[in-house]
Amino acid sequence: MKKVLMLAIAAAMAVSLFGCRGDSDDDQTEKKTPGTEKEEQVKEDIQLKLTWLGLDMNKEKLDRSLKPFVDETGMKVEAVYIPGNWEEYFTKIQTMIAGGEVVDNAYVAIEGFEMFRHMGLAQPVDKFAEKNKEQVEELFSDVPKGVAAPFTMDGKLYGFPTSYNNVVIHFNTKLLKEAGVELPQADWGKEEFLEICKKLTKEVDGVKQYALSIPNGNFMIEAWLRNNGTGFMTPDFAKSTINSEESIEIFQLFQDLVHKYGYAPIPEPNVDPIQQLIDGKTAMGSWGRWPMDEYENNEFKDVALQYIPSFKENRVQFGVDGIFVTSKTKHYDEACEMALWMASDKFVREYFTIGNIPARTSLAEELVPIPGYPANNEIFYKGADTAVAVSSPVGFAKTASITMEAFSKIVVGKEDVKKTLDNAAEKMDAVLAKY
Amino acid sequence: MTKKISVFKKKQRWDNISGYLFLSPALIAFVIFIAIPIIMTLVLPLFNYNLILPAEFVGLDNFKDFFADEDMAIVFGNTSKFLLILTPMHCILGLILAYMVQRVKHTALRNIFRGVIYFPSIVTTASVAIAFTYMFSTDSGFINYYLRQLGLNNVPWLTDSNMVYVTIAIFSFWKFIGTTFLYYFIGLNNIPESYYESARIDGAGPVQIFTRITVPLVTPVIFFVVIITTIGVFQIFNEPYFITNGGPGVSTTTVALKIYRVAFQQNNIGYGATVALGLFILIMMVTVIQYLMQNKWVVYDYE
Repeated sequence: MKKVLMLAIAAAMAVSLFGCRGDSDDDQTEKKTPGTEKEEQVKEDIQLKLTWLGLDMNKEKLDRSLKPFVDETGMKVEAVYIPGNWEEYFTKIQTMIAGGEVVDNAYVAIEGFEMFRHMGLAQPVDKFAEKNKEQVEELFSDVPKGVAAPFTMDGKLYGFPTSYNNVVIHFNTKLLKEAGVELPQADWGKEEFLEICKKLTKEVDGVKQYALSIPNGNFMIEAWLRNNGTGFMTPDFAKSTINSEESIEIFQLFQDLVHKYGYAPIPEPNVDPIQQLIDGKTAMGSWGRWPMDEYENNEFKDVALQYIPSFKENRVQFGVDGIFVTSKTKHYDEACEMALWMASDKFVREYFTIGNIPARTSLAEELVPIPGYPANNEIFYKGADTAVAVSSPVGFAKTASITMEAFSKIVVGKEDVKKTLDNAAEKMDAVLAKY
Repeated sequence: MTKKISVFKKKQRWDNISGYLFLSPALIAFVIFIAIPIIMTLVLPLFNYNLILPAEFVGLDNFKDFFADEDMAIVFGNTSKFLLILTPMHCILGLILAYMVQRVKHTALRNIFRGVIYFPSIVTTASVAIAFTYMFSTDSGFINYYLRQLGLNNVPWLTDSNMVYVTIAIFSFWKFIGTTFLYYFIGLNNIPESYYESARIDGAGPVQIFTRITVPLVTPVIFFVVIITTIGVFQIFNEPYFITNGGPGVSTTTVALKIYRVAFQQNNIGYGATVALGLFILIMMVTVIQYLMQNKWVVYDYE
């Protein structure tokens, strides 16, 4: 009896290990509808899985914004929220798909477009677009051509644009007023910029108030380079230009702003530069429309906008995002339907009231001014037709990492600008040559 | 006789079956979570793999890249710096702390010290590390605020490539000293009190007692602590990831952080596995050397 009992306990322990497995496989089996059955499947039975970059606190807003789609079509939508930056977000999607999860739609930023296509994660939506020509044409007729262009790769359409961002200078108007500085004109240059920086830098109660936060991100840094007539790489992503003369000038300026002039604090991890602007610790920062959420949460409205100083030209850079249909979906038409619906007036009006700039010009012009601030907010969407896209090659994660490493060495570590950028260019060329 | 043997065999068979069944949960977990990943780490360096596209056999290309990659010298160098700073710090200060607390006669007070020193070890590393960055922030951190109140200049805790090692060492001491402290504390408690009494009767002072009695008798624990601390520091990830993000520049980018970036941010799993294999071989070599050297200084004979 004792032996049988022992054996039973041991068997139970062994079985319990298998009992730990989740029921996701069962779910997947249900979703794996063979072609013939698929046609018979009613939309009410379909659940689409959508990945979204963001924090759970925004999930309620997304679910609310998606509800009309659920009500209209009867399909269910499961939104998977993935926190972190874009690189971590893309890796999570890859891990989910590699782990056998079926993701139908993904919210993707331009930085991941080429990578998504290269890895076979995205599939073209041309077939669907052909069938729904009128709606698709209506969408693209309302989106600035430059903003829409990155969605077409190798002659195929890969998704529908929802929103975009450019990079402009945000000013704390209270600090401008205190320093007796007027909001500069759109064509302000380097000299005026340095003059304003000087006026905005001071010490209050032993704590330094800085003129600006150095742009501390791949997207923002390249936006400054654009105004000096360059970028991180050539437009066809064939060769690095991060060590061009124009690029060196801008990186040198960043280093000087911190170490020579003392107009900017050394960028530190976990220090939120948007909060610094809100708290009046810095007077300027370079961002798109995304700080609006933080401004709203802090009831901070003392903010005005102007373009980045024109060093050689005023060339607005943008980064666009939209909804892709993954190659793993078992519901191609439905996933395309949702992607297109999410680019529609109904979704964008609900979700992008604050935050990114709606990709549809009609909505951007209508929604951006609604909060009543920042002053000069029309520059968020003006000039989108001639704007240039942020460099987003297949190996974006690697090139961005190389850029940020060089940036940190120059701005934080005070290393020689030319030498550091030459080294970065060599590494970047090696990455670009791979794809 | 035959019947007896048969009964014995039957019993042995039952015992074997139940033995294997008892073992199976641990065995299956070992195979899934340890054996397969180890085998994969040995195999993946031969492939280019990004989780989605089919793995592409590249032979020894990843190894060639590994030896040609100038970043490797930097990250292994940074990890060595951490090894030189953190391993002696934890091994020596943990022992001193444990000895001091063990000498406290008042039981309640001793328990309080024990709890206070060990407490940080049970706190989530990520949250505390982020709190540390706020404390050590150059302009808005309260440490520099008080330094300024004393008329001193801001210390670049997080922005100077040398100073960040001090900052991380302070964090590491606060966060992890409790673990080594606990090992030593248990080890010290196992030393018979009679040894100390005899030494005192023979006229030995506190320093002599510590160096001649305590340290030799606690060498097996020191050896264990040195081994696990060395391995832990070789794999250091949380501190640079949360406190400095590997910076300034790449001055605190460690091997583990590099593996994470290559494998999980740049999706180059094959090369990430190559670096991981390099780290594994290095740790194994150092551990074997430490193991072979123990005969020269570790005392197992208490009698």
